[in-house]
Amino acid sequence: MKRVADTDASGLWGEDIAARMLAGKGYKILGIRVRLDARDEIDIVARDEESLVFVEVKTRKNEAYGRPAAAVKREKQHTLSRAAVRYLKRIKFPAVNFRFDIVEVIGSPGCDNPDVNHIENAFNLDRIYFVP
Amino acid sequence: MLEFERQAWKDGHKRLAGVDEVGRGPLAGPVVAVALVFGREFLEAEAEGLLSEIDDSKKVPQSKREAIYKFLSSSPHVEIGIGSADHSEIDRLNIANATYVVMGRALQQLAPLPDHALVDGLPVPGLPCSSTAIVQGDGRSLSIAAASIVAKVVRDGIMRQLDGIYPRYGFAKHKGYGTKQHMKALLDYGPSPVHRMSFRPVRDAGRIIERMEGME
Repeated sequence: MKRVADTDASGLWGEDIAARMLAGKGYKILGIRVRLDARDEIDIVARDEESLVFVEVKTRKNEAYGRPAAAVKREKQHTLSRAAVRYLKRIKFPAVNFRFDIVEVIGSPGCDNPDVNHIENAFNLDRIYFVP
Repeated sequence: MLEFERQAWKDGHKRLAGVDEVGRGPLAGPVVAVALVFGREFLEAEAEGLLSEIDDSKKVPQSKREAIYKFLSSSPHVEIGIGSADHSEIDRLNIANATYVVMGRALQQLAPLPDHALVDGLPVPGLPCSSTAIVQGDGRSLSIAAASIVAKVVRDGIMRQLDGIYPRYGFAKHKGYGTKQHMKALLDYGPSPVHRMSFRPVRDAGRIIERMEGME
């Protein structure tokens, strides 16, 4: 149980760090942990000028297991695509540009100077989804 | 419009609902309450942007209310809980208690339950979470203003439906409030099945009609 709680606290912390970094770049943060239904949640939804940005935040204590972005596998891209489509559906598919970014946060709660790496347009919408 | 929200966040409340009720005064139809939760980031990012036209439902024209309602109900950053009590429940509980009950129901519709509620008007007993009562809150808190607009649009929709069933009274127009046309219809036809019999003007209209029928 402790492990789960630790992971959760670390994830929350990473999302907060990532949101601050994006806000510092001039992004408008629209939501953190945006829940769309029982299984679909988006870590951060933001607006960068005219683009809607769906952000996956990857938090790791260190780089021992490879860079965090490497953890965003096909499977995850699929679930993120599904969540993004749910989001766009809710707002009735206005003609907006959207993209998927990944923010890697390396560090843990309490550490002053985490390593934050922002990958814009990290992957595309899964091809099984269609957005009008 | 975010003064009270900011205070509640500072007090450590995370999930914050604005609560307002519509339909306390009308002589017919339900009383409806809405509890509305904004995602905090969204509210802060858009208070001066997408949400800038939201104000007390009485100050916003109908067409704009409906546009705002559509926007709010489709936003992934907004959750809406709706509670209502019909005319017979209002008669049974009295209107003040019915109002408290519907506000509680609106909050219960939100899962998980909000940590705290900003409520329009005077303190409301029996809510399922802590609350701050704000007099004229619908003009002072964006969350309450948004709830007031949703409640108004939802109740107006119900009154238009009731107008379809009981067309003689003009519910679509006055929404059950005691306008001249409504009072005249009450005197001409007597109360409908959705009138609040515990309300004086409705009861009186019923009595006057009985007396007139006795004279014939």
